[in-house]
Amino acid sequence: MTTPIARRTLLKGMGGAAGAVLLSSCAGGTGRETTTPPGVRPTVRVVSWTLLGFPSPFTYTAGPGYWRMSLLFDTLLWPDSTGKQMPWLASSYKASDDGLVHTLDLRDVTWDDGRPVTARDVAFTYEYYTTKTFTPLLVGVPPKIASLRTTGDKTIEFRLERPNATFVQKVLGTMPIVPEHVWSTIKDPMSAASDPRALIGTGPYKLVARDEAQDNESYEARDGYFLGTPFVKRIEMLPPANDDPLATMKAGGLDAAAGPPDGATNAVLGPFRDDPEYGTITTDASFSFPLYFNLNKGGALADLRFRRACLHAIDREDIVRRLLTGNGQVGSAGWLAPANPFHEPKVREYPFDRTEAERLLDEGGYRRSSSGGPRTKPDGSPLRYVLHISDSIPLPLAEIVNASLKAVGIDVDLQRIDLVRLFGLKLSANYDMLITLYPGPAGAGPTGDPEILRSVYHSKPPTPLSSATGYNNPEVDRLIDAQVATLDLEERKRQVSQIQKLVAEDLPVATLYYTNAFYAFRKKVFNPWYFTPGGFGPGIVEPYNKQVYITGQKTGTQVRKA
Amino acid sequence: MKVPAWLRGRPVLAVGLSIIGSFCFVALFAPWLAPHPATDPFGENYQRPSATHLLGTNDAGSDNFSRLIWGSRTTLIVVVCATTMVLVIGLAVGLTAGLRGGFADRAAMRVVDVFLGLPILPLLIFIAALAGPSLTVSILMIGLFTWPQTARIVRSQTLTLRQRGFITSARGFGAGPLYVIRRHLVPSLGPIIAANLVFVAGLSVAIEAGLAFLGLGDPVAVSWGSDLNRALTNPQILIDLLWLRWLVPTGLALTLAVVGFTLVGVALEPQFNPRSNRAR
Repeated sequence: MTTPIARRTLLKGMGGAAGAVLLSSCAGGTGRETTTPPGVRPTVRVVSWTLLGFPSPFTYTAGPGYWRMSLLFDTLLWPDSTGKQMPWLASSYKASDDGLVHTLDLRDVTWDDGRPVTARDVAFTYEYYTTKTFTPLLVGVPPKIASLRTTGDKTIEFRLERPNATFVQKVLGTMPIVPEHVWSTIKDPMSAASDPRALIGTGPYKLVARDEAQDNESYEARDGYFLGTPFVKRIEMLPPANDDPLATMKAGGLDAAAGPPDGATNAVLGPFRDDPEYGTITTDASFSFPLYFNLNKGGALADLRFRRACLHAIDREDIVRRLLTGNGQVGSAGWLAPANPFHEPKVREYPFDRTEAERLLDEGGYRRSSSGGPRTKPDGSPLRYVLHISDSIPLPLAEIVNASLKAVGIDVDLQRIDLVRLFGLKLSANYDMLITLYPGPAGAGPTGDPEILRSVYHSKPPTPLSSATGYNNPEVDRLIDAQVATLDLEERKRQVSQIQKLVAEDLPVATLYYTNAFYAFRKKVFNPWYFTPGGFGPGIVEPYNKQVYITGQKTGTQVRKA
Repeated sequence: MKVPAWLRGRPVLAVGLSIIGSFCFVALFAPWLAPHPATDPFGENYQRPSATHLLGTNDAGSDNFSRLIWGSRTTLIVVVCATTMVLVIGLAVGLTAGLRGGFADRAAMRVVDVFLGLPILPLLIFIAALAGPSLTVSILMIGLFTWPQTARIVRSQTLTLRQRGFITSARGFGAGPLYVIRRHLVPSLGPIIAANLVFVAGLSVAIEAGLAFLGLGDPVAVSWGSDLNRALTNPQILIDLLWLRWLVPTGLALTLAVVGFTLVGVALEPQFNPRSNRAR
């Protein structure tokens, strides 16, 4: 059964870990820096995510789960609105010229229970994360790519065997440090899903109320936080009425709310853009809608002409214009969105062209029947495939794709199922064609670090959830492996550009379009919201970076006085 | 226009039949009545009512008025198929139990008891969620879960009829069970089954719409239930009076269809349900 809460939770939860690298995608608030009255520390009411797990570092799920956890725990580095990773739990950070040695000194900080944070805690945390197995929905698990050495109580040294372009973000800026004296006694971290000890951290907030049945949580600022008393006094997370956060905010129930990840039209956004009471921020391409072909099934699905014909048959500009009223972009065949600094614009394009689609199908031996009905394959069987789509994906999109493919003679059996079942089919590679929402439960979005290309195009992906099923191009594999070990930005861009060109030619998966993220807020309550370039933590593209709650400002670590 | 004798003084029946007749007419002649294809998603979306689009267009650019007309056809298909299933299963079980008696009767009635005790709607939702959304699944489930009432009525009437002299005589002259069923029982049971099936038809309309509303119907079939869901979950539904040209007509059509079947059922019940007559 599809319920509104399930839809919202799945859709936003699965996509919440989207990342964004582009500095320019970080649009500022439309209003002044802040209109919070002097002397008042605000309470901010945002949408709740209790269904995404207990907020310990090992039991949350998906992006919104990570940001709740990040209120209770700190990482060694953390970004502000510039996207630059700043020393956070660390007081200083330096990397060697070859990128192999990363040295950090810790601040004098204590855990909630009063014991000091030591380098040993950092070493323990890294070991704990990299030796235990977690659900793929735990999006902030650091990769095991370094060895670690401590010097005294405060100095940590990470040593990498090979340079890694994602190390700083994926390890230093993502891994929440946990107390060894607590977690060393917990063998199964998943079993501590309600243990209050599991929330002993260093973070700027404390969980003071949590009611899963009512789907709400409250976090209170920790006055003794090492950067100073957080500017935002209290964060209340509440369920939106009728699964509609924007309408709930308009009715006074929330202070900030996001538009739907599957896109919003100007008619929906207008009341917030035009009302001086509200501020708005947007960022390009936070989600994409890829069409996957299961190459393992062979036949037409493994035929490049068929796949290209499918993309030529769909008028994606019309989709962006009509369904999103322009609040999105046509998908790149190279996966990375135009808003991504690694985006390569000169990849093969597949504009809407039914004549070309028909020509490709004719060339592939898929013949039209004399009655003008669906085509037949060279072996005489009908050119018919099941297209699975998620019920979270707009029905108009499903209808447009269905009708577009039928128009060129491809018979589609459209099956609309819930996201969980869709992900199940994707994981088991038990599908013909499939349209899903990217990013899924984990990973960064189409504007994230280009390492996301590994999860889509590498023949040995970290998880089959996002991978182009059955795709194997050794040159693409080589380039993906090379780019992550390349610290020179221009050289890495060249490698990533080459990957995009190759996969756009092969087209094992076709991005239909990207949607823009939209966020509105009450300016008089709290104003300096922003989307973090590159995302915070593992690449979360939500405007919930804790830096802004703590400091009350968009940049730096200095706390604004109330 | 001359009113048939059997309709005179029975306004409820007349109104009910008029609604059902109109509904069937629209469903049968949908291809000629609808000005546009129901699933053409290439038009401008959210158009206001005009001479071209009487009720405007929906979120995909399809004509709302045409979808309203085609939706009646989906509903009629479900009603006809599900009601036929109920008729076949209900007759088979009821007649077998009533005529054979003994173990067959007891076994059949226990099965009926089990089905009548099941919480139908949650069960339908559960099974539909497992089986996947499709019109066939909706029809099968409605048919498979709404026959027990019909079977029980048929069985009780069969028990009464088989004691009648003409049945006993027929049997005495060597008539087999199939002959008795065909020649005597079915004609005698006809009116009461018809009245019962009208209720089943109304129930089918509501269940199909309910399942489609919950996203458990065929995603590409044009259905009033799924259109209601689509309209209600559309973030623009309160903007520019979209609800008035999309949500309200669909809801009215669905309500009218259910009311039509209900009125006919209510009008027929006193005539064919002895208990109902006694109550008056």
